[in-house]
Amino acid sequence: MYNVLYNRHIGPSPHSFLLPEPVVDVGDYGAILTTGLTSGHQGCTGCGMVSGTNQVLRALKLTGKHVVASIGTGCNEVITTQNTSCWGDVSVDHNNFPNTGATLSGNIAALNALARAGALSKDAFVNVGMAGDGGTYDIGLQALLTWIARGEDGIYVCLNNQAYMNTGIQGSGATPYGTHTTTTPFGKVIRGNQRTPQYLPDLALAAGASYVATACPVRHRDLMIKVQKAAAIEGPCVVEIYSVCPEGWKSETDVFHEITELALQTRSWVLFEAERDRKSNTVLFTLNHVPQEYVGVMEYLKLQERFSGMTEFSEMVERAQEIIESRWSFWKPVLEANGINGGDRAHDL
Amino acid sequence: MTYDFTLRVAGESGEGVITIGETIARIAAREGVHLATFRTFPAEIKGGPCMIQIRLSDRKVAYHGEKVDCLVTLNQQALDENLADLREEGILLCEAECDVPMEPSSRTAYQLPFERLAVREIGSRISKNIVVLGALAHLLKIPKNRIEEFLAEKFARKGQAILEHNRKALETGMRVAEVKISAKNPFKFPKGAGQRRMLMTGNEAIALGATMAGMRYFFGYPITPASEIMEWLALHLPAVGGKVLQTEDEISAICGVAGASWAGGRAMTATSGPGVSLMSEALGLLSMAEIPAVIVDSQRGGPSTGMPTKTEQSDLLLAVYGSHGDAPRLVIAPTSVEDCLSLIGLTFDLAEKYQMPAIFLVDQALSARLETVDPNTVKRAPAAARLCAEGKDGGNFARYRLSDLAVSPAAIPGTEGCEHMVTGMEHDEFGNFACDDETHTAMTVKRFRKLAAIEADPLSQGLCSYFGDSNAEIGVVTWGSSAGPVEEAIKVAKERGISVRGIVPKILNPLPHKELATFFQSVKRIIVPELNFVGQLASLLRSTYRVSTINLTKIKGVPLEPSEIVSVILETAATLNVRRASRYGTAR
Repeated sequence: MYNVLYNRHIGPSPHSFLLPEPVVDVGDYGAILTTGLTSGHQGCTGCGMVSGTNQVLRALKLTGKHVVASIGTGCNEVITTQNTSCWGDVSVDHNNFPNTGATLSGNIAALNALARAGALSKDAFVNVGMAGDGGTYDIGLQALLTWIARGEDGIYVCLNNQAYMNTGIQGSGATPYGTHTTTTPFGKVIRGNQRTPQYLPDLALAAGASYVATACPVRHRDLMIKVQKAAAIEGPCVVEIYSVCPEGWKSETDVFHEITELALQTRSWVLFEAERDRKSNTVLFTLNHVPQEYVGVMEYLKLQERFSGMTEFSEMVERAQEIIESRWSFWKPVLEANGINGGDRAHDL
Repeated sequence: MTYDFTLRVAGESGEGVITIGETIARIAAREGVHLATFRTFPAEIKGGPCMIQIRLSDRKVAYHGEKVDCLVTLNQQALDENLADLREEGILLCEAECDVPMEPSSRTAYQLPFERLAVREIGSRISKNIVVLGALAHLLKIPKNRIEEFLAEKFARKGQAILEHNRKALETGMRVAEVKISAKNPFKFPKGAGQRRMLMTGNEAIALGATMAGMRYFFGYPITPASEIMEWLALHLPAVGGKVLQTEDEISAICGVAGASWAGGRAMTATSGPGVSLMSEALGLLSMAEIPAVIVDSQRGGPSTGMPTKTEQSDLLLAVYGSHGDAPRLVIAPTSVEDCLSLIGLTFDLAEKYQMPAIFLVDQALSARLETVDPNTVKRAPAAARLCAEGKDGGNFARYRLSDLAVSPAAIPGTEGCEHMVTGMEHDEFGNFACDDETHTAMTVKRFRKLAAIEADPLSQGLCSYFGDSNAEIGVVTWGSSAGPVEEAIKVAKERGISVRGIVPKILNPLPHKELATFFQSVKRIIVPELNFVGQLASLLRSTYRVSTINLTKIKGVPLEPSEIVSVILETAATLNVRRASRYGTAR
């Protein structure tokens, strides 16, 4: 267990209580002169993952360090490895599905050994592991949690598109309640996914992560600041990125932005950061975004055909709303301190 | 005059290529025509070249055909990549804007502006494939009402507007084809037996066959090309009271199977090579604890992530030996979709009867192959059950009793007086940990005795297919989905005056010794075609029977072609008196 401390301030901040200096603020538009993924990726039109990866790499390259990436099997790996120029000057280690965390450990250990031997500087490189939700929530969970528990210095990025898209849209541990996937089909007897998804930030904090953040590619500045913080903070850091998947979510390819904004507005996806002070075993939670007004989850569900079955059952929509509200109630102290009604859905949040 | 016609449709993934091919296949199957297909998919999620090939015949076909009679290409790349496989007198149907080579002049090429028609007349580029389907229906002389009936069923759920839209696209294609395509074209749509045939993929056949065999507990983890098995079962197994559980990885999947099976149910998992690699520790557990289980392995190009959407037969040695220690298991390899349907039931029966893990070895080509099957195959009833204790064993139940029998009675948890422990540790008759030499020897012998018993079991007889002449000097041994090309090749060789005898064992562990030993005595040369680099079946045969083999190996991610086998047969025939055995074979 750890002590919980809330940051009164709401919003993205280049400041971290673990760091003496603020990280580079990339500005509102993330308009900086670096490239992330260079060219030739094979992602589908409207894919959120490509944009997320791109921003992660841009933020990391901004640190001036050599980026060493350990990537697990999944959509992101398939669409970026058919053309190696895609990764530009990033060193990439593609490993098996379950082992992103373990390979990350290997990379870190070897580079640290080289640094100790004086072959390269400890500050010359930054290690990042990247995997999808399947490779993180399911098959890769053991490797990830033990990597965090070992307390090594690196970043783990989970590109969460909420199902196994690469193999044909099968449900995963991150698939939302009520979703239709090929392994959680929406039928008369069983209506889509019956499980409440796991929550990666909880798992990562329980395992002892130094820094955990959630992000989405539509909020460039927020995402990139978080990655920069993760690069600067000592110890294992986890960033989970919301990734729209038109193919798997059965949504139009041109509403990437709208869907992500609606996820934020309906609080289906909450942007926050958690920083751990090891000495006092305290985790400081910062909420980065509060919607202007209450929007029911239905607005979010109806843009995506994967939810088309559940939206016809009011009790299912209610249940989806309940899941959101129970998560949101965690932020009550922050909302109250900011004069926002304490998460009561009957009022303005 | 027999009817034998091969059609290939090629284009970009997402253009609706598979829909065109599947529609033709399904309509043909309704007419009672026999058919087999081959499909390739790109590794990309969207985009990349893809194709479907369909061979229609009035007799049962085991192979999807080598040269095609009619090629349909939706873009230039598809044309360039597939034209070489079109017969010299074949017919090409392609997009108007493509460059078509003039030679050979014996070919007929029809170039129609599919994309323009779809955009201008139908108002959507997505309808292009239905326009192509219309033109193709005219070319193949498919009765219009048949295809309309089919589309009506296919799009019924999507509403009247979408159905009308597609009907219009179909008519546009037909209308343009009537003008452009010569009425004298040689094709005719086959007249089938009139009786509808069941058409299904290998994966569907496995899922259906397993359900018919009483499998009610499925544990799985998504993996190409086996995922469709879990998807089919997720839809249908609950309806018969079964349960599908998607686990967090393959290790959990097989251990779930172990749990459900120990508790008395028929349980299965389906995966591909990477999954079997993860499961191999549990394979040893299942052997050691003597728990029945069925593991479907749909092989793909390996090792590691390898070529997920391409076919290969490179898991044989993994299936037979994969796991540490001496861990016996049953390995069954079907050769066709019909086999998938019938042999999965047999696999369950043998696994249950002999209380051991069984691996059902298919590959991507067979998993994705659409084939007509005999409806009677579905009706197979379970033919064996687990030997179980009746209860009241005085509370001193010896789960692993040593006797002359191949198996000792199991007990379903909860059977009164038969409380017991199953374990992955070496154990005595009661399941107590024991690591003395006598017990380990006795128990290992007990576990391996099952293989000899299976070989002698009436259930496992007749599991070899034979082709060609029984007095031939050249023998061909193959396995799994390579059986079809071998059968074709032997026919072609016969036409060229060379007698060849072929044998395809469908049980690969234990090998059918009687039949194989007799076969090896009857031939002077043994050719072993298979889809892997080192010649895995060949190495099993060499080590078991001390025979020399001529390996024909291929690792191109696609099935063997009969011509490749024929050329090795011809070489062998020419040098029949020269001893030749290549150790590693060559990748062709």
